[in-house]
Amino acid sequence: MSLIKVPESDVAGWKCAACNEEMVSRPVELEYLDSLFNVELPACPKCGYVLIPETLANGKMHQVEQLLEDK
Amino acid sequence: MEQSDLRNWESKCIQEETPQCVAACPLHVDARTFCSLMGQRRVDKAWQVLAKTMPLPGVLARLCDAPCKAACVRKDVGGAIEMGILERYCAENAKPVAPPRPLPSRGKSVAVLGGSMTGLCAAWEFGRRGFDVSLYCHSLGAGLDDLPHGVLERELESLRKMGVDLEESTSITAELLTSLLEEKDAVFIDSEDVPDSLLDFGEPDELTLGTRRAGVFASRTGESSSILQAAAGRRAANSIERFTQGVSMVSGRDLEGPYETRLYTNITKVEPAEPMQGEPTEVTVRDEAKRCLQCECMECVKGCEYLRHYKYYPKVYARQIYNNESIVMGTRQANKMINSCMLCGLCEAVCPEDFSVGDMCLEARNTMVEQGNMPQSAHEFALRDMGFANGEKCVLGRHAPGLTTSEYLFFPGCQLTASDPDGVTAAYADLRGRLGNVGLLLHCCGAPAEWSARRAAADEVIASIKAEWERLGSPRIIVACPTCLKSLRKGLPEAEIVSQWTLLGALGLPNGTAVDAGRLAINDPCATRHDAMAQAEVRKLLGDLHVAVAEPDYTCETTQCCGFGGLLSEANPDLGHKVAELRADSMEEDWVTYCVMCRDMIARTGKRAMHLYDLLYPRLDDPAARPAPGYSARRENRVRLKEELLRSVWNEEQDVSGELFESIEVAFTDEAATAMEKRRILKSDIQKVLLQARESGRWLVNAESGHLLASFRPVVVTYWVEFEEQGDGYLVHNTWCHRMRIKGGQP
Amino acid sequence: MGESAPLWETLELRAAAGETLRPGGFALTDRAADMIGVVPGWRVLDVGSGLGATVERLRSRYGAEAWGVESSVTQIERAVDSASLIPARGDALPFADQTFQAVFCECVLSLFDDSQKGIYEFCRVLKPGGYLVLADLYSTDSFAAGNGSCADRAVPLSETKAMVKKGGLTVRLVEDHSHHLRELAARLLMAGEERYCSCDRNLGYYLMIAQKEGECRAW
Repeated sequence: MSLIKVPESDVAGWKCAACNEEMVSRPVELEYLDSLFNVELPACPKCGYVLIPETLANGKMHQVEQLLEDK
Repeated sequence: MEQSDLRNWESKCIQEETPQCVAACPLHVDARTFCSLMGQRRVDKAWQVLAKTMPLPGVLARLCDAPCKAACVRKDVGGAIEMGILERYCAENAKPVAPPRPLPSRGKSVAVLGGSMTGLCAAWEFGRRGFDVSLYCHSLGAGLDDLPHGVLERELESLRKMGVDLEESTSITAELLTSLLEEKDAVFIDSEDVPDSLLDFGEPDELTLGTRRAGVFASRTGESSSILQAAAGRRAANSIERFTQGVSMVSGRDLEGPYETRLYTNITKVEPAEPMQGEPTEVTVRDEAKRCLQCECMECVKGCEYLRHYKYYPKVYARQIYNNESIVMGTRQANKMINSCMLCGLCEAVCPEDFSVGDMCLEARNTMVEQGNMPQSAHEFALRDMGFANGEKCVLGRHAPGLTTSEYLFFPGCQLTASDPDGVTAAYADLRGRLGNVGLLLHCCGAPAEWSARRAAADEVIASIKAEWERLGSPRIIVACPTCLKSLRKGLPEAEIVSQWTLLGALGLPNGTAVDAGRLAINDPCATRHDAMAQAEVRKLLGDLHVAVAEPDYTCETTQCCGFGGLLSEANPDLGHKVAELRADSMEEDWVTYCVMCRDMIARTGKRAMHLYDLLYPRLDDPAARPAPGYSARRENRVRLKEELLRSVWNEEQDVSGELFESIEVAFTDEAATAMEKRRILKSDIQKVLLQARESGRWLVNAESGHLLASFRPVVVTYWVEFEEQGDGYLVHNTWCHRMRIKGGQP
Repeated sequence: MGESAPLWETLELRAAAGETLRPGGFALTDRAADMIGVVPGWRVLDVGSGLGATVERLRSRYGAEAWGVESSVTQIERAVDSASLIPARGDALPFADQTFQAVFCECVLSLFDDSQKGIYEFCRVLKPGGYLVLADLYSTDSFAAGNGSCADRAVPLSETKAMVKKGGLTVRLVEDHSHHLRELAARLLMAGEERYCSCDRNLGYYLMIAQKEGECRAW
């Protein structure tokens, strides 16, 4: 599966509090209704905590969810 | 939806039926389009409309006696459109057009005997269809003496251009007829322009104009109207075409001549206007054409923003739904449209053919659920809310304190308890005070499950209500919400159910009702559409309350839904809001209504609105200004109401061992509160995220703002909360959510 | 003056029933013609063509090459146009085998001396795949009775079906259209014609369409 890069990674300065690490771009697997997506998203390099920014959640992600649902 | 269902639905909608004028015209000239163009002074384009279907247009347009006028809908609103005058003006002022290009020859030949209007028109029709046609007559255009110079000549020239062979000065004899019959595939006789001795084949058949003589067709004598003569020519051409091809002479010819159309056009709001007088001028002709109503139906679309929004009308929607269901792989475009119908019944009420888009959409939703194609996110929030209202924290079923039986059972429904818990408390006290033996059942009636076609869930809800009702002795149920009334009447047919308004009509008003509410616009909830009694009872109550009631245009049987019906505002929030706005803005006055969802939907648009409870049991200074509670507040109201009632009415303390997340103290910025309402994120959802963050010790921190960010996925939705610590609790700045799951990510 | 004319030759019936001289006028003719799909080019025979109304109908409305046989010369003489009408008996048709796409026999079969013989003849002159259109009175009693008027000769439907099958034709459709009969009886009654009495008792009116599939049975 090819890796999808999303421009909405406005990660502006979030870091993982527990690990004290800056977020880095990493491939993350997202799934919805039996569909899988390999997306490059900000995540903590140590513990893997993924950040889904607001613009992505309300934007592309929402559109994809609606599309998969045939809404 | 099966194909036969689709055909039934499509034929029910009359929007695409022919307008009266076109149906009444023997040639079915598109008079409606013609008038539209003449009204825009596009005379040349208008002429093309006539020339497209009229044979010898230059002649016919000048002689047409306009039988369409007798059918014109405008005749009842001032007078029929003066089609004859418009046709003549157009013929005189438009740029002439070339005759139609004939179809390729099929090697079939026909002779026309006689050259009056009938014969000439027949020849035109034959020429157009690619027949080899020869016309024989004594003189061309017999009977057409009264035309301006050159008009007939031009049309004869057009005939020649179409390949028609015109043989003037020919003697029409029986021998000619016999020899032509041998030569040609058929002969058409213009009975008005041949010697009587030739007419020995009996009266031509009225459907086909055929005679008992094989290959001989003829017009029926005595037709004086030019347009009917032209129609006879066309009919003969249709018959001879079938005859020479060896196909049925009769099938599918019902609409050939004038016929009745089902199209209905509402003229109740049309101002009468008289037809033009005097000599036609550019201006008077244009104005006359503009008097044309451009007949169409669109009755349902006129009253429903949902139907308007999708740009078409029910016949098209039926096909879209059918196509939607047929898709095996690929996107279904119509799901949202199907889920946006308010199921309110307005279309059915105003449609001349009783088309119920609601029935069609609900059936479609059923199919979607059965086949597993119903998008989850459309109704999930509403169903979860229903589940909460039917959950342990909210449900309450009791006899009145100190009693072991109930004569009545008050059923306020899940939205009154969510929006106006104090009103419910007051109402229950009033009913108990004046009737005595009144129990209480706090429960949702299951309408969200009905509307979203979740049959199993709906049945479950009714079963639960039934169990409680039976447990409480099957008393008479008093409902305060018209939707509950509908649901319970359907789900519990064995129960006696009465509305609180009926009861108050009999009991009289309670003490301490509001005074001087002034003039209010009344919104009949769509669930009362066919309940004239309820509508009358409420108006009587309002009268007793000294309220002057203003009726909107769409009221009583034609009331408009507020946008909540059918779960529109859940499945399509923007459209739901638009619907509410239109309703709210349709009246100057403040609104009064007797369903609290109607009240809240209107209030959310910023318009002042009251529920009947605000007048019956006034508690606030300005109830019309009370904002509609948000989603989290609604849930809290239900829970608090149950606690309050148990404490104050039944003297019971509830075991308030709430869930752990409920102990999290949280405050919200305005930005956060708005986001929560828009995205349907509840306070409890946020508390769950914060609890998870606290317990797992995992969150993100922003160096610049110092805000913290955490996420949690309780069930099917992941919630994100941006917050900061504030005292013992938290202050939330922003929140969002998504359904997509991070595989292998945080919980 | 000798025996009075049969009902179908009387002016009273003609006045009540119209030129077709039978219940329903052209209603069943048209219905059958539509169902079997008569188109221009078909050769069609009307047995017992009376005044030639059906022949004219099939020609002018359906464009078919229609002919009629009629045993009563009186009737033929009364016809407006007898060009396509041939004096002949229905059970001895003056046509070659397999001439017609359809044979119509409306309100006539019950008058045959030997209906079965008539059916054999119809089958003989039909092309393979051709249709026989029968419309007539039928008896709701289980057996026929009497002789003379058309009504007295009505037989039960089952008998007619059996006859048609025996003749080598496959019955495709049988419909009841007794309301046409009642209407005609009412009209006759209005006109004071007493013979309606026999037209009313235990009688119905049917439309039957049969098709020639294979071989005819020999007589």
